[in-house]
Amino acid sequence: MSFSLQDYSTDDLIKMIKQSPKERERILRAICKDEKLKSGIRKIVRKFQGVSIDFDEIFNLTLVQFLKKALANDDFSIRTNLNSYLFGIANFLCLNKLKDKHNKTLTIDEEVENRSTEQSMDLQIIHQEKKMILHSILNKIGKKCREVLIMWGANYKMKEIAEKLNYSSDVVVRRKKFECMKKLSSYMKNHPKTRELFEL
Amino acid sequence: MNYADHIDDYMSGALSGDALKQFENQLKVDPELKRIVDEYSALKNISTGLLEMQLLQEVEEANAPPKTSIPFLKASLTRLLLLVIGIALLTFLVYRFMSNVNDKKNDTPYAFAYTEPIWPVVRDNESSNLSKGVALYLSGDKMNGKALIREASEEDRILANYWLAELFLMENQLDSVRHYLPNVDANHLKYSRINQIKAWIEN
Repeated sequence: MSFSLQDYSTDDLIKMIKQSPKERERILRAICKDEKLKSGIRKIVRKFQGVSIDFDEIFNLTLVQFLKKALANDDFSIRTNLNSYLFGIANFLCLNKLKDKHNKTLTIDEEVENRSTEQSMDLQIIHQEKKMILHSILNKIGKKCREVLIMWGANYKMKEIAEKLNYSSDVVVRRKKFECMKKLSSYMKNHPKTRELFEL
Repeated sequence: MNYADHIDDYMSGALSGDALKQFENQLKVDPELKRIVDEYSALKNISTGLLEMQLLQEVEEANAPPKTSIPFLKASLTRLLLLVIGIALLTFLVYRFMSNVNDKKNDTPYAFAYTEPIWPVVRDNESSNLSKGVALYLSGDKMNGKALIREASEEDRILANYWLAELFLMENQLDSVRHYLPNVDANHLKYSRINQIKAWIEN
């Protein structure tokens, strides 16, 4: 039976996103097939003609921001419908691109529009330099550390991490996390720019 | 107290009382712990960045064309390969079958390909021993017919041997055919026929 977004409330969808990567994948596939959503985001991207914003990049980052919020915030909820929320993020991302490319200060109208997206924009990977560093880190820390740090980054409790990653207890996860933090710290020692960029 | 276990609590302000004091005292003597605490914000942001990278990968995969196209392509290629192998096998079998047919054809030239020669005409007074011998053989007196041909003069020897070969060919006595069949040059009257007989008996 095919999965339809319309059959679920946004709160249900958020719960399912947290539930498992498999559920998350089902929801993502359904969102990616939503032509209304795509067409709406295309219209937003077109508004920023001349900045050469890539639709796919904005679309993907919009979904990443949504998923991240759903995963990392226990009390996350959407007051409007899902598409309106996603349009808000896409608009915000385009404005940020515009700001980055032309070093432009947002106008009052734009700022008001930004606030209406119900959330703050805090994607690390929107910055190309940070993204490159993250790629490099991913290749250096190993699978286990990657898993633990990603879940810590998503604000999972140590007990939840232990359950989801099959560790014997939350204490074991704490030790593992500390070991991984030391690995990252050592990376930062060898790459001083990393701390400078990510501490902000 | 394992201080590494309480970094998150310390950073979130959840530590208090003695636990907080102990942790702060440990920070003064444990440079490794202090370094992690100092870099906590960057470490957390990096971990959040790693989460975003993971999510981006999931989104890109969900947004990519269905993966089924690759297995389908693989299945198509497998089917194509099987078809080519099937055709090759069939071609080989047909070739083998035709070869066998040809081999059998060559093994039994008389059944498939033998045609009688144009026998010499016998005229009462003018006929040579060769013509008479052949006529005698064809009338049923095989022994005397062959004997008469063997009596041919030396100048008729090649032609005599040729007719003997023809008669042995009719009897399917191939060794005798090989013995009598003469080698002639291309201008000889029986050149084509002799070559045809050679082809039959060699196959």
